Amino acid sequence: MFSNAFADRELIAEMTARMLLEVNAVHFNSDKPYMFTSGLASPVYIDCRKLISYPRIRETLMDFSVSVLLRDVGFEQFDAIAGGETAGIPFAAWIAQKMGLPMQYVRKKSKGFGRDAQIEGDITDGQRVLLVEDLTTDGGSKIKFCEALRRAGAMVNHTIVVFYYDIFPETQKTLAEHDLTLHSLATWRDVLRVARKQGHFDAGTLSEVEVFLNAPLEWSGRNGGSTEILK
Amino acid sequence: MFSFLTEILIKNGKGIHAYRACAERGYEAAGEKPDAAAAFFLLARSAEMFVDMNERMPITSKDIDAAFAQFQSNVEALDSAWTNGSERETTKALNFVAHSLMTRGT
Repeated sequence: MFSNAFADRELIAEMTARMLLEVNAVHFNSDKPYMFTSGLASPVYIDCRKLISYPRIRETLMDFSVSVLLRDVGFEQFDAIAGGETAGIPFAAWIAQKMGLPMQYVRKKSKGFGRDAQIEGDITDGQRVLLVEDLTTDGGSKIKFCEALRRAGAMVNHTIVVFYYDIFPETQKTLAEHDLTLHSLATWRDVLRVARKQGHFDAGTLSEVEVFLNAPLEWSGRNGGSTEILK
Repeated sequence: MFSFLTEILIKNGKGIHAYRACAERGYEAAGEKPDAAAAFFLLARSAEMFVDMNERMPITSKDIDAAFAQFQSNVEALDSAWTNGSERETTKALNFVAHSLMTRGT
């Protein structure tokens, strides 16, 4: 069960960023941009799936996640925890374990027929389900997973991720339009701050990353990517 | 006949979302047009394979350009064969696309 004290939000963000940098989950490359699912070019890439291989890190991150949920949402506000296929599944399992709650996972595509064809695990009408994924960019996959859970009868109003890009102002608005509140542990700004503080990457790379974070659509356009977020 | 699938990729930014939309439309077309079902099915499957292989991976703009060029080449081969109209040409084009899928993944 959850055992940590409630850490300060800034400490959570800084520690999470430090852990991501420590296991080389963060990649900056402005010469050969990465492409987002939406077609946007970006000098940043993060692989949160690496975190599952580090027991002390994942344990700490899951404690952070539970503390954020209990503090920001409440102690008795969820009946089950659902992971989004694939990266969200292990994190959902650990959070479910810590909160003493049932777990499901949501497939990207339906398997078989019926309103719960995308869900594995038992789900009941009116069950208050927390959706878990590893990260959020534009929020598109959260909405799809959430819709699948709702079709199966669940009530889904909250989602948590380890990492939130927080570079597109539309993301929170879009999620809010779908009655979803996003909770996260760290953002690119936190990673950039810690990378500077600890001397990760050269100054030129970090400056270019900051240019991207300040105006991602413009940076994308200058580097061969889309200039708008396409769904 | 098939170039609207390439246009879907261009219009949607040639990223994962674009290939997913392309696959959905390709499968629909395979169901709607029995005379070209095999061609649409192969193109849809190739778009779907791109999504399966690259979703949430650090794909670069160079990779995106290469995948798009291959998809466009497949579309052009099928368009040319279907315009030509001979059964031999269409079979040859289908084999070209299927072989490309198995050897290059797109």
